[in-house]
Amino acid sequence: MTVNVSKPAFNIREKLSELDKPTGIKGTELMRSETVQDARNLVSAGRKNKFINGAMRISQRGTSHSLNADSKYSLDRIQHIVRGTHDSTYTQSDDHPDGFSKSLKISPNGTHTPSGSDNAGFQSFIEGHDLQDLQFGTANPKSFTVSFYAKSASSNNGHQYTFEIRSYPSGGATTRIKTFPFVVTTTWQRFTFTFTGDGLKDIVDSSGRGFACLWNLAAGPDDITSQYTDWYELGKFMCVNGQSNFQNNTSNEFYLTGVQLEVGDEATEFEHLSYDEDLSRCQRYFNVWPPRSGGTPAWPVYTGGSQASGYIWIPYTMRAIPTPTDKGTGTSTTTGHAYNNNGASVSTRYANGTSPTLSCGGDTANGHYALKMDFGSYSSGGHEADIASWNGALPGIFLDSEL
Amino acid sequence: MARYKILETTINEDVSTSILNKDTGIICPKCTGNKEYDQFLQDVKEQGLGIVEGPDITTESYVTLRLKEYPPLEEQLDKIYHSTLTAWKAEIKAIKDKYPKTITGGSTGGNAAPAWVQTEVDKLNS
Repeated sequence: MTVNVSKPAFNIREKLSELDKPTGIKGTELMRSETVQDARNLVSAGRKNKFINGAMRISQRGTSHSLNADSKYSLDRIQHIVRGTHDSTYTQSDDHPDGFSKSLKISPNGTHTPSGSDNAGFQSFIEGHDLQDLQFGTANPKSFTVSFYAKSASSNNGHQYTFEIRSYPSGGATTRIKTFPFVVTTTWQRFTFTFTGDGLKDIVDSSGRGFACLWNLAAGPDDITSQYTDWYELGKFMCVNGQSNFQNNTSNEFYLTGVQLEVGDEATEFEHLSYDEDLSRCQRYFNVWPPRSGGTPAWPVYTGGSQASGYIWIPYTMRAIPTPTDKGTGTSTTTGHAYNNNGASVSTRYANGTSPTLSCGGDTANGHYALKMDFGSYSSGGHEADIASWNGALPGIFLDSEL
Repeated sequence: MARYKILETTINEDVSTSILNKDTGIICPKCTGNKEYDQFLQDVKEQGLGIVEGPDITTESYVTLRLKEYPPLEEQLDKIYHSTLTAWKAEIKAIKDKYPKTITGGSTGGNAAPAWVQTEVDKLNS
């Protein structure tokens, strides 16, 4: 039996020309992908930005911070660095490049010429847990790319600053660093730096510091040297030759936003998260809880044989047991009232009276903790506190579990 | 001069421990990874145990001790009704005698740092 098959005619010249159809850079790269993982990486599927609050939208402590002491925080995850003198104001600014809504703005409060090993700048930490996919300390360490948008005021137009990564190996070994210089202008620029992986030392696999991302804005001569193009064991903040002094003029400004740290050799488009995702990621390290509960007794009180203390659960999983402070006092001493079951205040029957102290406790295994308001040891009168209210400063109790 | 004071609260058999930094007025938990606690251990490592004051030792007063042993009011009234006022008085007096007013209670500070501080500091050196 003979079967006749007929196919519609086609123009072979037309089909051949389609082979040259432009597919764009990504299309070409995708067609060249050898594995599914390569393709996934190329289109940046899934979460990619390891830097938290890169769009500078979250500032739970307030929107302006004048800082002159080391290790103080401004916008969420942004920590002030002082070696010598560094007195600057950090602001959450509405100045931003296209596609963003906020930026971090920093401006010096006074002029200062750094000497010796002085350092001025700021940093943000990434937990070691979140960096293990970089495979540092193995035969196949992965490279990663940092990108950010920055600009200056006219007075520091053309200033050169230094971006540095410090990597924290396991066992408490000395950090390893790598540096890149960059020059800011009065217009927003996107800077991208690709870091090759470090095959010699790992990154500690813990909830402690894994990376420090540093913007070094000034340094004394002892901390300015050639660029570290390879990972180098050094526990210091270092700047690259040509470094400018951010603190030479109080009109100087440094703006930063769109910070992204991603695996791979390319800086891809910034990963915009929803506001609640950004906030949730920050709340692992810092949150405000509870809001002021004056007039609303909400703390169950435990009265043991000799003391009274109120307790509430912290509704966020945090990196480590946090340190609580009252924004008004700047300390762990706050204002509160304990009441008996008739609604009468009995605070003064305890040693701390209406100035109880705050502390936190819990099990570090799962990140859930409780907050205690301690009225102190029992002194006189009926020992019958049942419930308490917290009456400290707005907006609420600061719970700090930063790195 | 102590820069830190250990604070302890005992609830049933659980003891919750915190550390007061007397310079800053900030109370941090006993938790590795908390930056204030890590700084506390580092300071003790560099400056010695002399900068640490142990927790206050609190003793209960006769009022608290007697309150814990007095029978509930219903039982006391029942005793007066079914027995005699004298019997009730005798029972109460026994408790009063057991805890005389000379037991004033209170707390004493200035105690030595607990042993766990040195143990934790030693871990930094290992």
